[in-house]
Amino acid sequence: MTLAQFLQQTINGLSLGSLYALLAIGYSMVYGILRLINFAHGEIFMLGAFFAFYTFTFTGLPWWVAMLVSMVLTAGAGLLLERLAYRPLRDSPRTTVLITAIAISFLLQNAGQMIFGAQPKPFAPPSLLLKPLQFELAGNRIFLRWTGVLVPIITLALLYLLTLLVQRTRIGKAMRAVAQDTEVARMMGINVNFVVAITFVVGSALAAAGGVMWGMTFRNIQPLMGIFPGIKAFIAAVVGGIGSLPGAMLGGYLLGLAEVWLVALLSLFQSNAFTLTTYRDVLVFAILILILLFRPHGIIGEGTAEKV
Amino acid sequence: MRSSIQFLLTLLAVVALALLLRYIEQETGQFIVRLVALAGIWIVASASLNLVNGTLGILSLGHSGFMLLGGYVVTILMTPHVAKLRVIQAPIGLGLVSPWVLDVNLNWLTTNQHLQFIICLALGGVVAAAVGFLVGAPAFRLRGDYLAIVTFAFGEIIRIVLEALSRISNGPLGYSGIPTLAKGLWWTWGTAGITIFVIAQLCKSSFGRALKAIREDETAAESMGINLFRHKILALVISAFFAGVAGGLYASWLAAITPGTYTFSLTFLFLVAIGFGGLGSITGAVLGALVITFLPELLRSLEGQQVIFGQTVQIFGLRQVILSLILVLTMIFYRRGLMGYSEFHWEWFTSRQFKALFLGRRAQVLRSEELAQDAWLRRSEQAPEPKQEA
Amino acid sequence: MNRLILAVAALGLVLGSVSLSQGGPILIGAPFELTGDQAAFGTIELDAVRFANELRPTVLGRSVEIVAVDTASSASESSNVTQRLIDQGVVALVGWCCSRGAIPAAEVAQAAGVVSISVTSTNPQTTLVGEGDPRGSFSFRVDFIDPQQGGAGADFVFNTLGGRRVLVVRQIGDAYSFGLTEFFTNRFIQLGGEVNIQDVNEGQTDFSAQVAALQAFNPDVVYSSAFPPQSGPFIRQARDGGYTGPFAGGDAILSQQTVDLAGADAILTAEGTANVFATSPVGAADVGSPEAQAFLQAWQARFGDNPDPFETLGFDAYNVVIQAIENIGPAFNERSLAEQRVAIRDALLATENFPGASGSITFVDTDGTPRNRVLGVFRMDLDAEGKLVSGGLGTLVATAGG
Repeated sequence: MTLAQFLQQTINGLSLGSLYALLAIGYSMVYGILRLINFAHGEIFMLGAFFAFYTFTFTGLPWWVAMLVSMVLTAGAGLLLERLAYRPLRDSPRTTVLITAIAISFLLQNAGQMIFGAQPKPFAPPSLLLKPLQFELAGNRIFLRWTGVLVPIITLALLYLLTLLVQRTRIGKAMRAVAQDTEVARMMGINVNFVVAITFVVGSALAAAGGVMWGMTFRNIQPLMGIFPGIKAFIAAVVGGIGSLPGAMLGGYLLGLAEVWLVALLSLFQSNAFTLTTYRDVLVFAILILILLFRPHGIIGEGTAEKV
Repeated sequence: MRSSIQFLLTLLAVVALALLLRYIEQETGQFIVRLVALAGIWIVASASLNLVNGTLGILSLGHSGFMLLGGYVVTILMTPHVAKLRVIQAPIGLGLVSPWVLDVNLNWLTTNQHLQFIICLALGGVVAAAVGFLVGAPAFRLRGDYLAIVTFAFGEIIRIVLEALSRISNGPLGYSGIPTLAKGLWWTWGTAGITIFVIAQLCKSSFGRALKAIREDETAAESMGINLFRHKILALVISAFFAGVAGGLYASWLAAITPGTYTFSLTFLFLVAIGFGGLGSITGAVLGALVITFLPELLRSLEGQQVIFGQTVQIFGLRQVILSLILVLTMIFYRRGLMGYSEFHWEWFTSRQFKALFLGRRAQVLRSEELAQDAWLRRSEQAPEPKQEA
Repeated sequence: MNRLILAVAALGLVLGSVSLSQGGPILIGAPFELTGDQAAFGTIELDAVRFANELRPTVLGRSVEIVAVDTASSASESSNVTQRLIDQGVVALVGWCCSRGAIPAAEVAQAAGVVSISVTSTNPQTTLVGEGDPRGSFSFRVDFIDPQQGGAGADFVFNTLGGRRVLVVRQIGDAYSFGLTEFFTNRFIQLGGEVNIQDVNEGQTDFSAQVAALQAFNPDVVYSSAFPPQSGPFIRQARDGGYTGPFAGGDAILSQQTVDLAGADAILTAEGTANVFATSPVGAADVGSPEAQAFLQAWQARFGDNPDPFETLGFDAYNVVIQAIENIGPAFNERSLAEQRVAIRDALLATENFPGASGSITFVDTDGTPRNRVLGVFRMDLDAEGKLVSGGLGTLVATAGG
């Protein structure tokens, strides 16, 4: 593999990793505060993409307005989900909540197929973003599109805003307090329900942004599109250290890079006689299991980093 | 009630069930028989999933992988030579499967199909249990929620690897022509009966009580001298064994197998069953299994043609939405499913609740008592939160 | 408890309502994958069957009613619902986009002696479930499992496109994609080429990793045996990743959906000619046949777009059954339900050169899979609006086999 190829793949991996990171943060925030794996997060992401699609199709607003509208609508959906399904289960056994989350995920997938239709839909980003961006490096051509540049930039901007929210605002302080100890936070006069609601709003809005950018990068959306990114982002959150914001970002980027590098590496050793890329997902899962065995709390473990 | 009377009643119930099954087999249509047979298989699968997810209280999501293993053991050992041959020699049979697979069978042991089926089901269970051990050994070093994703990962790994081993599994093409013994009600309900009996005895034993102790509080259970790892892994191995048996029955019921049949949506089906019926209750698992078998078929009438604003339309997908919704609502309003931790018992019929139900009075008193007890049992952090905070 | 009794009674009522065969309409069961992971194909095929029913609503003076049901992309539901339709008195079954549901259903239909026609199940075993049954086989399909297609594709890529290094996109767990890849690669390696297989998942929308592998392997041609929901975005993302060479594939990608998901600019070269090719048994020798033209015009008038290969096959599946019933003649109406079902099977097995929208269909001397026809290689040329020319087929550039 030449240096240029390696760089090219690193760029691809960073772009994919940004999207995983946006999603992983939603998992991590909710887990940090509620100790709940929100299995329906992938479907929230799907809703975000569809809200943007319909806003774009029916109103013809510019893409970034459609993205903002979608973030607001999806945040509303996340809020509704928390209020209707998770809040009534706040003090119930862990298994109950997990099963509910899985059930909600299936519910949204099926409702999505019923309402949006099962056919994948082409998702057209503005043509400006599709312009290729090529440059030479040591005689080799590196190729990417403006989306590939824009996605990490928007992601990092959103993550910066999120960090500000968590570090600098009153509500951010409350979130950190609730994540550390719900009971004590409540005794200190923090409205836990409000904090949890805000967490879902923020997590869902980020997932929506991820969904829209996913649609723009990969150019198609469908009701089951949340399954794979959902699982992968969850793995990213776990690998990074679930409950930790920097962990989720790190995990997202690591997984994006690992996946791209892994397939490229496996392809190198492929020949006419055998195919290795079939085992890609097996390897990703195996890495997850190994990391958990040796670092049960992820790379940035619980307690060493702040949790939200 | 005296235990001898209860034993008599149980015996009577079993005889009544047997008569009912005989009636169904002889007097109703093929469709009902198929459905009832499937209900038996789903009972085995749900009851086994319940042992880990309900009784032990650990969310295990790799059930479909264990079922797939059991399914393939039955397929490889039971499918007649002719049917295997056509799988290989078909127009695009691709010659994927190694020739030795053709000659793998149990005919050297016995030519009786029924005996072979018993051996195959047991063997399928053993293979699944062995893999269950391999899954559990690393997984149970972890605590809590990580287990859900690790077991899910193992379920996927089993499926992907088996599919890639096309020399045995025929890749995504799978096999057809598997003997359809499991269409018979006696096979599936007989297995279901054995499964229920074994798991119920286990739950009653000290082993079962230890599992429940782990469910309520791991740290406390450990300090009481319960070996967490050994109990957890044994529960998973037993659960995987019966999942393998259920998978074998399912392959025979379908008469065909492809790895793609055993995806996570199959596991989800049993999650619905135990979530609805009761997490930690065998009675609940049976109830849930009946619901997931019959309810989708009953709901089909909703997806028939309907006239809306003078237009004949047919909307599909409602059944799936309703099924998921039922699970969500059950979880919200019952939390541990309809049955909770309670099991069917003959004393139900002499209980206050039963009388209250049939006299039309509410049994609220007892329920709130139960709730209070439950609250006591829970850890403080899970106690109901105060009404209002600042 | 009362509710339980009510529920049991309701179950009995629902299940007991078996319609009679002689008086009312002729019932055709249509179990399709309408929800779940295979819904993208099941729904459009059902639409095509319904459309065929609209165009030809009666046979032998009786109306034909489509009883559409959902298999939820599940093997057990497919099996159950097939038995249920049979108990309801359907004379034949037309359905299934995919083998997962089609094979268990074919086993049930075989046991009951009812014809099951799968629209696009490609697993060879679908039509083999009746082998060895003294009553003969009852399972059919209208699509092709043509091993020629992979071979012809390899010849075309090697000789015409001049490809020596080919990246093959395969869909994990799919019988069609698996079989096509196997035949393509076997032939291509035999010709002296080099392949690199990339597995993608059904439902996968991001192909960053595969595009990275593509960039590293640097192939002359990319061959996709995956379905349009994967192939379209793959073509798009490969172009986004700087790949400018040609794409080739099987009949599944010869679809407007591929074009829509990839975008017209990904299909065409800078000069404006298409750079995507597909082998297809559909219509190769029959481009412009009166039946294909009539279907095309009716479809465009009704839906305003070109039919997809899945839709064309769904249309033919319905018509081949109706034609079989018509061929039996008025005696059909006199017979019992069981005899009607067997008669349909016999009439289907006697079908020779039925002029379908996808080309002629012949079941004589086959196991229920239509006999091979002349293959065509099509270039996916687009008109000014980005629609595939020739009613969704593109331009015929080569033929093979026969």
